[in-house]
Amino acid sequence: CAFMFACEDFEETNTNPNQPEDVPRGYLFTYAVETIMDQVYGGFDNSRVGMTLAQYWSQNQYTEESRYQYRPATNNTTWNTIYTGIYNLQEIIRLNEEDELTGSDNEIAIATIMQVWTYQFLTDLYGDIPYENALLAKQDTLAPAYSRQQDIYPDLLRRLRAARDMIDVAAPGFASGDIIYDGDMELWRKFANSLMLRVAIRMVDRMEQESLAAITEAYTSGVFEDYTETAQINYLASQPATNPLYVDVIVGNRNDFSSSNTLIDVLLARNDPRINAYFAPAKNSGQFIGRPYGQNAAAANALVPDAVSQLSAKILSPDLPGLIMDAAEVKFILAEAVQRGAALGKTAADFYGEGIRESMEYWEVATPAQIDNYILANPYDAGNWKQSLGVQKWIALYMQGFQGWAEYRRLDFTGILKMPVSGPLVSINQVPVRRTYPPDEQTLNRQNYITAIEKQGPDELTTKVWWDLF
Amino acid sequence: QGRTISGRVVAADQSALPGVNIVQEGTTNGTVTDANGNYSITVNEGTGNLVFTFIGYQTVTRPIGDQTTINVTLSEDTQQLSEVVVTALGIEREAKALGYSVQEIQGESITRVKETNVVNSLQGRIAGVQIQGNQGALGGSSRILIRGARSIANENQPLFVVDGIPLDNSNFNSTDVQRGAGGYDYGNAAQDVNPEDIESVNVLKGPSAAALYGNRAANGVIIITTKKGAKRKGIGVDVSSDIQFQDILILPDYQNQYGGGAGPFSRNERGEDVALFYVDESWGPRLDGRPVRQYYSYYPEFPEFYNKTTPWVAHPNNVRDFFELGIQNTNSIAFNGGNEKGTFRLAYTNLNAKGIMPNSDLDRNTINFNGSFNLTDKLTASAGVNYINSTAQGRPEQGYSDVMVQFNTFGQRQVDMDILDRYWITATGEQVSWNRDSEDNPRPRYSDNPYWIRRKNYQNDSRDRIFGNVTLSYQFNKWLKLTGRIMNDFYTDRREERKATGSVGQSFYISEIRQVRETNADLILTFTGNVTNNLSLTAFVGGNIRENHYNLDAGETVGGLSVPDFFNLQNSMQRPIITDNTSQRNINSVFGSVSLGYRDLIYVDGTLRNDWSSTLPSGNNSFLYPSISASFLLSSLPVFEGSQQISLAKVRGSYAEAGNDTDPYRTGFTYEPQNYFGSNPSYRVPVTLNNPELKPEKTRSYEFGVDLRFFDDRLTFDATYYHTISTDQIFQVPVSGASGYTSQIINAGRVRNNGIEIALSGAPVVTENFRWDIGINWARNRNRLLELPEGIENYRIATGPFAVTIDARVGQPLGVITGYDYVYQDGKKVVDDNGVYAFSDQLVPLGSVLADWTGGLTSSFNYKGINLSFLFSAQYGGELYSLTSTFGKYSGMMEETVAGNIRQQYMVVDGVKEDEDGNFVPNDIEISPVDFFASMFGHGRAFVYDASFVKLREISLGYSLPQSLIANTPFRSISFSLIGRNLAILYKNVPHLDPEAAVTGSGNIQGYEGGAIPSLRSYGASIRLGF
Repeated sequence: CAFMFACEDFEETNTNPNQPEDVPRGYLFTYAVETIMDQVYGGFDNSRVGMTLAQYWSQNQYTEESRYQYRPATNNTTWNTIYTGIYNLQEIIRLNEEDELTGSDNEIAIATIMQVWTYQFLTDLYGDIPYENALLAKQDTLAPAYSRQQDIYPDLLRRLRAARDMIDVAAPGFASGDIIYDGDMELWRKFANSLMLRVAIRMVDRMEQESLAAITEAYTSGVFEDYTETAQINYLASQPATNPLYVDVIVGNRNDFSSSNTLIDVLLARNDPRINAYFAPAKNSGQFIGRPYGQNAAAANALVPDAVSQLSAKILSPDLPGLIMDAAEVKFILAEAVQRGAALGKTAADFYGEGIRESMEYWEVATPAQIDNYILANPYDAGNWKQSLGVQKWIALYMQGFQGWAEYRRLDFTGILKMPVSGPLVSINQVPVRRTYPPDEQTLNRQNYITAIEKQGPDELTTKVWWDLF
Repeated sequence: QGRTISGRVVAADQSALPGVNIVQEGTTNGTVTDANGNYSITVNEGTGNLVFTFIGYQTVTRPIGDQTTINVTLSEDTQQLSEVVVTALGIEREAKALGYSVQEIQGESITRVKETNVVNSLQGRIAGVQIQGNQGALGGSSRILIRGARSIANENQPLFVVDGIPLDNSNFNSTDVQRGAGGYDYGNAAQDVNPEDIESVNVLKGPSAAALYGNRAANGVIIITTKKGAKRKGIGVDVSSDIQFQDILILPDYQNQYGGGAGPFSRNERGEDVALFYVDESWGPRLDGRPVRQYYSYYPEFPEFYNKTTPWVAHPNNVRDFFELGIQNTNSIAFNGGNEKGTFRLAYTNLNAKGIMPNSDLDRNTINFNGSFNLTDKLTASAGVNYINSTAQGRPEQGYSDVMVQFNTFGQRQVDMDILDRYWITATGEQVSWNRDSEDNPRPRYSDNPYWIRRKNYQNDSRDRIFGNVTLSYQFNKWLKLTGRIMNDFYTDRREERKATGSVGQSFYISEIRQVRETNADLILTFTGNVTNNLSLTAFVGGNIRENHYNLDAGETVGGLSVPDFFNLQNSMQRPIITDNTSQRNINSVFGSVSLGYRDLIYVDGTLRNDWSSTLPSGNNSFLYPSISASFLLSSLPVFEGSQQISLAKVRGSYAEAGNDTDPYRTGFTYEPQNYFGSNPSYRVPVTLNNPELKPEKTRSYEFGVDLRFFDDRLTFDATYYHTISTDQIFQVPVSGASGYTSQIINAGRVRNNGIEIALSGAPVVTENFRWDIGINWARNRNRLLELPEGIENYRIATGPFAVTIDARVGQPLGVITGYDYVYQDGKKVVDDNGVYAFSDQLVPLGSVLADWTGGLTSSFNYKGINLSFLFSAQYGGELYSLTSTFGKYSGMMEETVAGNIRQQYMVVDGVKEDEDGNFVPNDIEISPVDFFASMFGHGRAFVYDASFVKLREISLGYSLPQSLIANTPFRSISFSLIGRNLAILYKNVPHLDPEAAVTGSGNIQGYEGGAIPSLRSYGASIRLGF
């Protein structure tokens, strides 16, 4: 500065008084988990995309998504919000690594596990995604290149293994803000191993050896034993920490989603007690009646909501947890691993039965005896295991729409999912096997986007991701 | 040998004229009059003349002879008066001396037809100045664009300066309002300037003119001078009153053949047909008058309808019936007076406007005071203060939100407004909505009753504002003056928004209180004089200190209201969301200017300014920018002297730079508080990456032009070409979220604007009693984004709630609508297997939101005090995306959904399909209109329209009583006028809408219509009395 003006206090003037320069890392973790889960379980992701792709739900009105026509803009939000969540987890890792903080290993491990969970969610949706090159804006990489899914998957396993091995169960995790396990490092260790199972089984058709080895290793190290160990975000009864579905449907009075006849018919045919947790009987008849999946606007509007089963009160409660991974899925993965040749000390049928049991106990719908009867009535069929295991896993993955859809894509069980009853609104003659990239990537990251689709295939709903071999 | 002559120079009303130039003809010997109009001059013996010159007055020449006292009365030179313009820092300059273009609008043309937002009054009057606004919004925003948009991401609004006070013009509208996604348009704050107090408005279009105002003036400056008192006998009193009525100019073309629902009626247990009231679309049964149970038949307290069926019939005017007649009433009174020592003016104005939606009002009170006093012969003090209090209630919501959504995009065509109005609430306070959930559940599904919204869910706001200045100036001698000023603009703005218990969605209450303050202090030393007889010099140096403070305290309830309909933050069900935001910016500046004039032939101006801004990193926070301009008066060359045809011929040119800083707090790294999760605090890394290495923005521009006046100024022609390049722009550029951030603050980008402005005016007929004036202005601006940061080809200005985005792409204008197109085969649209149009794989540019050219035509006829004037304004080119068309068709509301009787049978869309052999053949696939329109809502091209228009903007008919009639009354003047505004759209291509109705903010988010409030026409009368 010159002349009579004093500018030395300009830096102070330009220091933001509205935001702190340091915060406890647990506060960042709370944000990251909540923002990722709110997005995953939000109205434009799980409700309109995941739950309809898995055909767990139909739509009472505005039925476009169940006919495979998606809103382009909401896809941008999914991408941005989820990467923002991943980046805040990365910030926790950065702070720990740069400052060599005490107890940093456990914090790094927790953040890494959640990053792996989230990256897998993303790559399962889109296929190739920015991964190795992602999160480097501060290093001037504003347009990150995409990594191949076949490179991402092994790296997810590697990172999980490293995270698990870093965990010191005797030491604390975050001082506060762990809204999943409240600092229980033993459970985080089990979750790391359980998530290894999910990652490994997805790639089993491509890399069976590595996959089964990882499953065996993780199982030996310790995975979820029962539903009480489930990884989930425990939403609260009061806003704004409620389940986003409650906000969308009850608070917003947007009764857009109903049961789908795809799932209701399967549950009815098996006399499955979970139907009472999943859905409410139709108001007009008191019966469980599924809304035909994929009706056009006129057909959907003509069939009044009261004539079909809507979502249960439990599903619409404000504190319905957001599932991250549960014990039932662990058991089904173990069953499949045994079926494929892994030696885990139990039979595939044993694990299959445990999967059903953990699911029903989680949803609190049946007595142990009823569960036994159900398993007897719906036995494991080793000769057609993809069908019997696939359908049960699909039923158990209810509310985790994207997971249910992923397992449908991978296990290819037949006779369950169908084409929209009024036909699709886009040119497609199969259930989509991928989500298209968000339109923003075409403009904000164009070169890398083009390179990605050159490698992976056209940016369409019908282009298979790497692990989807069959 | 010298002899002293003294005397006094006065104006026609005998008031003293200070500062009159007195020169002994043919010499350099001269003086000026003092504050009392007195002078004395020592002259050489001999004959000769004294020449008295004063800007705005006719020059008087008096022989010296042997007199010792020469008193002179100067009369106003009306012709010359208009040639004096106010330029930067309030300095009055002769128009002919300027090397850049300045355009002036007199106060009368602004007050003739009053607008709630004064900015709109300038529409169509100034070449190269595009003003857009929707009058339906009750004091809503106006967007001014002078010579195009320079900044990619920031507002491109000019700086408003009122009597030297830089005036805050924020609107704080949410992004949602601007992108058509709902909310209230609170209007830009410059509308606090009262039209009644405006003496004149000068528009400095380029940074050249603005070089002295500093970084904010890169988009031009609107200099408003308010009325001042004058020396006169007694106190003058002016009274004016006007009233205007407003009604709907245009509504969408609705279909009236089919009612709400989807397909046939349902049948209840009693065997009655039941309307599908829960469906907010109009794909229901034909409106054939059959008896049907409608939503209002379930309430025992409405015996007229209870348990009864009523005929299923059309109400073609239901939307129009909802709107009321808008009434705007303005009354003002002003006192002014003055004597040798000082002058004053004190004025009060009240504006009261009732909007077109039920329960909407705006009330604004303005007090304006200007005074000046000569403390001594050399020291003058003056002060001006404006107090504005404005309150509004029930501003209409914009875009895709509560009321308009059920008229433009989703709704049932057969609803009867009269019934909705009368039966909007039950005896127990529950809402009665046409969108009832089911026979046994009265809760509305998607839409509230529009009367419920207006009566229960209204917003309100108020603003208290004071702006003013205190000036002291000391005239050391005839050529040196020191002026010190302190200027302040301060306001508190409070906004409250609410949703009542029992509405669709959760009840809430939002309160926002903003305090905005800007203080400027400056000191300017001015030198005025002649270097030689032929060379005049005006120069000044000065410094300015500016400080901006902004404070926002806001709260929003969470989880609804605990006690129903008690609107207070403490009534929040859960811990309310609190916003506590403060910011400060300091800018210190020094500046200087030199103006040289050689005879009456050549004028050259140069300026230099340096700013230091607190918002930039130290080391990069100082920026210097110069300007130079020149004008050459060809008509002063001897060859043209005495020409009858040419009264003025001037060529001019200028080059200027302007620097710019940025918003506060864009250089550091901090964490951002988020909502608590239960008792867990939540913080995040901001999604925008700040930049510690920012440097100032720069705009460079040049312009040149000609001004020609013919036949004693009967015909005038001005033309300007300009070229502006803005570089190193500081903006928030969206980046791939995969980078960890969704945007980054960056210094990059290059935007070019160039264009031509032409103003032509003439008085084809002038007789003693009759005068016809006509004026045309026309401007074309070419805007191009030349560069974005490396690796980025596209900048997202905004994302529409559906279908399209507004982008800036390299090589294209700022503001390109981007979305899906059709797929074409040999120029024909391709239809897919389902019989609907295939969408392009990629998002493509669909059109620019910027106009190719804009223009205006004014004409006035004067006959013995009767004045008839017209204003037409036009825009050619520019596109907009219409959500009204998108969802109005999706939902079966619009006329197109019944055209060609398509609901009776299937429709076949126009296009080609691919047959088994891969050949494209004419499409013959049948599809239901419901499916077709549903398939289109994500489409961009289908709903992008040319926004060109020609409008009859204004007509007024005025009459001033001749002096002969009022000579023996207490009145000094009496005039009446009849006025009309926005009376007709003579040409447009956008269906269902006024192309200008889409404007809901002043920023770059334009071209997205999200269910616009209909635009209005207004008509009224005014009377003005002078005592």
